[in-house]
Amino acid sequence: MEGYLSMLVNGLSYAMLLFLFTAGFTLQFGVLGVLNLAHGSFYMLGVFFSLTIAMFLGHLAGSFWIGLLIAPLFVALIGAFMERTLLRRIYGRDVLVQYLFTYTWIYILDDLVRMIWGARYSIVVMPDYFASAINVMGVNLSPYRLFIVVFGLVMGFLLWYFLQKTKMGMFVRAASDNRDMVSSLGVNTPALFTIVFAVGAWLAGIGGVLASPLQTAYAGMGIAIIVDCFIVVVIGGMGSIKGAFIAALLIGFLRSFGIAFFPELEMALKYILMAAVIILRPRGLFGKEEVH
Amino acid sequence: MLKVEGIHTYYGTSYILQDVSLTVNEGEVVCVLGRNGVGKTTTIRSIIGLTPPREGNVYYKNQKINGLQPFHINRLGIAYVPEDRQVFPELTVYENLFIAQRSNNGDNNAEWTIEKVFELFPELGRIDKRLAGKLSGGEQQMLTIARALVGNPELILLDEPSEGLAPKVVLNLLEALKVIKKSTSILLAEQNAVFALNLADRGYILEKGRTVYEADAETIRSDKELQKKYLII
Repeated sequence: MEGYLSMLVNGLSYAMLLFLFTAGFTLQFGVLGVLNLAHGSFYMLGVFFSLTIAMFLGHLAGSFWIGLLIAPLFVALIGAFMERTLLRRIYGRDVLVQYLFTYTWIYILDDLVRMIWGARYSIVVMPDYFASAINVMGVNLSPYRLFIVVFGLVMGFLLWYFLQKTKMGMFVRAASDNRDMVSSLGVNTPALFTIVFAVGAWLAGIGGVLASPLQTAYAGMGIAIIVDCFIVVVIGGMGSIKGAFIAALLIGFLRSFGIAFFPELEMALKYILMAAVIILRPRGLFGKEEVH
Repeated sequence: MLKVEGIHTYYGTSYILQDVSLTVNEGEVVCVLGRNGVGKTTTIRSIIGLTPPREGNVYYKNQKINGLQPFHINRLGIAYVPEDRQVFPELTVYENLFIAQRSNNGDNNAEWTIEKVFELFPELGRIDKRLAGKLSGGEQQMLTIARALVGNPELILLDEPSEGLAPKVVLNLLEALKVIKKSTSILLAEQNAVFALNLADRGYILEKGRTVYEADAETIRSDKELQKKYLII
């Protein structure tokens, strides 16, 4: 019983991290039509900004929350800047060109991180009230992981509300179907693209900040999560936020329960699931029929 | 109000418009006729800015608009109804209209609201929560026109509205457009000359990417030789 509950919480918390991260990735792809391979680098930047804020403000009681608020905004600003100055030039170009282009960002950003923060490994210390286990029904659980679960669910709801109920969200959904038509209705699509890209980077940054007390920070850490993100997108369906949510849950549980029951297979399970989806349902669980 | 002066437009490497000129005066319905592939759609797309012309100029209210982005051109008061409907399939009928809604500056009794377009197209009002992708061709055509209207444009660019619709639906559409033309100028690209001349005051004929003929609608309607030469398939 004890094992199951903490496995559940571990799986859920990783799922929520992965969901926030992937939601940003899939949102960007849906509207801009570009697969941003450097999305993991935005996550990494979220982690390092969180580190720096913790370093300077760590003595303050609310430093963690300040980091959660500010670090993703910085990541979003960097995303917006990169979209405006660089990415914008390759819309509509060959997919391979786009891959290569965003792929180079991974190395550039990794090296920038090495230059600024050095090659050492560090971790953000979480607030005391998150650090000590709490007892739920006789089981010790990590309050920080519980917090991630709740936070992820709230963010998921807000994202859903934004996309379904606000005019800006409707523009985003409409633009993911037909950019030209949205522009012809008077919507400043270049600005919309910048906003969407920044929001995507912001979500990656949030993922990074949330992960920063759980994971040591190092240049190059973006690669690991982008691989899981790809798996989630393939399983959930390209451009689908709902798909990202469901698939992130699957991957989260596969990881936490997989380690317990099939320790020697754990790494392979998610790839097996992905392969099965590619064979049985190539567009993913919630993907659109045609991809354009 | 709209003046197109000798535009040349390429689609990728294909040279489509090879000298198109036309004008639309305030309050007028002007049609652009011609067989399939003569450049009617490209003319419309060149005006709204989706395929900007390489040569020549487009003026709207004496302002040069070629080179501006589509959203900018739209904000000046030009709406675009594309030929293959292009509703937003994942949005409901209401949402399709909601995002296109924009008020014009002056207080105008003829201002189009979502309620008013539902009066014009009662069918749409009954299915306002349905996803636009699930509508019939006729309903989608009404929706794209309604979507253009709620932006309260002064000029509507209407590309092949009758294409692929049942005769009865085309008649309904014609009635609705007759109401719309009372308050809005229209540039209508059509292969269906009977439909277009029923609505238009004036017409141009395109042939191989060039405007080759201009006359009032009555003249084109009665000139069987002209129709045989340029319009009948």
